[in-house]
Amino acid sequence: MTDRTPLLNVRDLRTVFDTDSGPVCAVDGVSFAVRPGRTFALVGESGCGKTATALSVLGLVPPPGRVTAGRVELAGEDLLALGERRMRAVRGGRIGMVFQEPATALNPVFACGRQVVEAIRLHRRVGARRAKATAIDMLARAGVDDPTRRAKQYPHQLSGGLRQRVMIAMALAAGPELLIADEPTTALDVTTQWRILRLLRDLRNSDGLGVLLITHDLAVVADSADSVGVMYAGQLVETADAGAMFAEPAHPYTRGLLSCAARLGDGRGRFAAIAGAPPDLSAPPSGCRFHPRCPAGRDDQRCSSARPPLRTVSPGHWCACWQCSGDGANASASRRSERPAAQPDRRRGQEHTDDT
Amino acid sequence: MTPDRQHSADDALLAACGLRVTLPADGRPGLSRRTAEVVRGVDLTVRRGRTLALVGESGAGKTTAARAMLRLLPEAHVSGRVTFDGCDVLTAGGRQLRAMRRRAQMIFQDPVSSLDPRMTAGRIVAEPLLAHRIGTRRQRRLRAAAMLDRVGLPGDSAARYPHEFSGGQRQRVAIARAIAPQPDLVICDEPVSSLDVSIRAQILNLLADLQEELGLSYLLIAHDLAVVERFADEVAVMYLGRIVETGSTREILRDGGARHPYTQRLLNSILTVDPIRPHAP
Repeated sequence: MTDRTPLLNVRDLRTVFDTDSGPVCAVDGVSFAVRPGRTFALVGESGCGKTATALSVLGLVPPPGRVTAGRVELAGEDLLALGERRMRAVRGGRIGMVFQEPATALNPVFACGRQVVEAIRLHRRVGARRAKATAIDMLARAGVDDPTRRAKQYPHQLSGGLRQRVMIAMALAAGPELLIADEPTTALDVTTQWRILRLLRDLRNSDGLGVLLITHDLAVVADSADSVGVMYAGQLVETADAGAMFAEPAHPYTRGLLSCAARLGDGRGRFAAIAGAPPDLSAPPSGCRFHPRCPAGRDDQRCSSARPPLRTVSPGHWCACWQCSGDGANASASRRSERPAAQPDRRRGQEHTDDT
Repeated sequence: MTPDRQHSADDALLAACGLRVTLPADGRPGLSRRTAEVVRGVDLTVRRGRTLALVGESGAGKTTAARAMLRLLPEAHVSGRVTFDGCDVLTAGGRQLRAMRRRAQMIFQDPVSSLDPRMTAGRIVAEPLLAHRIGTRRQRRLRAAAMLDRVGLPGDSAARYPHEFSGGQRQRVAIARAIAPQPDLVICDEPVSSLDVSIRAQILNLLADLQEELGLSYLLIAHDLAVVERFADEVAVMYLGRIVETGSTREILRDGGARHPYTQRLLNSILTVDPIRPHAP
């Protein structure tokens, strides 16, 4: 498979939850691609649909949710058309998964080694002894020191970082092509986070693994991703190579998120904030879903009446915003060095209202 | 907001000296002989109207030290000396202790578990006033409403239950509760860690406004050094139960004043949104 061919290709994915207050569209026409040996990051705030997107890819959307439209292709094969039995072979087999909270994702009553062995034997026909040896190999590859001893320990005897390494060993056990990592370092300390991200990057480079990284933390994206999709209220609002995204963020939401991220060296002072809070998806705002919080285009009718399509800002850089002119002019005018949204807003009424 | 204000010894509001906390190793007080010293001789000073940030990784003893300073741990486990506005916290009794409890409030990381789901926001905010027998019922209700308004919540909030609020709003309720009894000190234990990026800034700015307006002192427990740098006057770095480094925020986080290897490792582990950065912890 060449670099050009996407490993995972998601097109116009739509996932709807039928709730008492009507259908809630958690994923609304999302498209992206993950290439082998590359990391694609889906970034956004809680409730923006990034985890629902990952669960849709895995066929794990919990009822009353269901995928109502779109395509999910893994190396050309349509996963949405697969039956549950074949999908189960894909999950854990061709797609490895790492979740946020390793304390709850691991089974507390089994030793770690046994859980890795189970992951191996579910997907490969190997004897118990071979599987055990492989499990210890996997733990070692995931950076677990003294894997033979650790394999005999139970999850509660391990630190958060070690537990996450065990999760990674399990995810890699069956030799997957794609790894989905949902907030893999959110529960960890900064020093541990750094090591786990380094490990994921090394594995991606050495195994040609495609990684779908889901995170709310732009710093994690800047550290680890090759390309990025920014989600807001169930929709993809901007997608680009990581370099372009951080150098020339086009969407006002992306720019706001970037200015919210405090950097060391900014000194004492106030924090730049995005006014308001993400909308309730059962009654999303009309038009562009970000328009009630948007600092740009307040008097543009289109923002509140029509959904902006994803348009090219520059080659490989797409943005869904009526205020992006689409010829690159806006993007270069909004270079982050100027940090247009970073002016701390002292007017209290504006920044202290995070109700919906 | 000049970072280098002069301070004398008596502008200390809360001070710990040689604070030690020994907890039962299996977390069951009184039932075990195995113990672990979680806080190992900590000296800390929170100055009036200022913010001290206590940073370090999980398990370093930050929260335990803070709780011990407010005498929220069983006395048998705590030793050393803690003073709050000159009076000895660990030996204070009766009225003195109650006064101290009113003047030192706390905000927790997770507003979902720190707010009683069966109480309305109005009752939650009025509860500390009731506990300290402040005002009449009507006065307490009015004060709760005023506090909820002050933290930027909509007018009908007092009658709503915690689950009806978003995460950021719940943390505002927790802040309203903390400031209702007019404290001098608020211990903020990871106040924004569970919040979304775009909401964090709103909450931190609210805390900064309240500090200026009410002359509050903060002890901020945090792990995000970029936040600490913007928010705190002084930093204490805690590692394995000890303070390994302490000083002004600017000195330690900006001017390369960090000397302890652990502080340097923390600084090197920070990820930034700036794509190009030096990196090697």
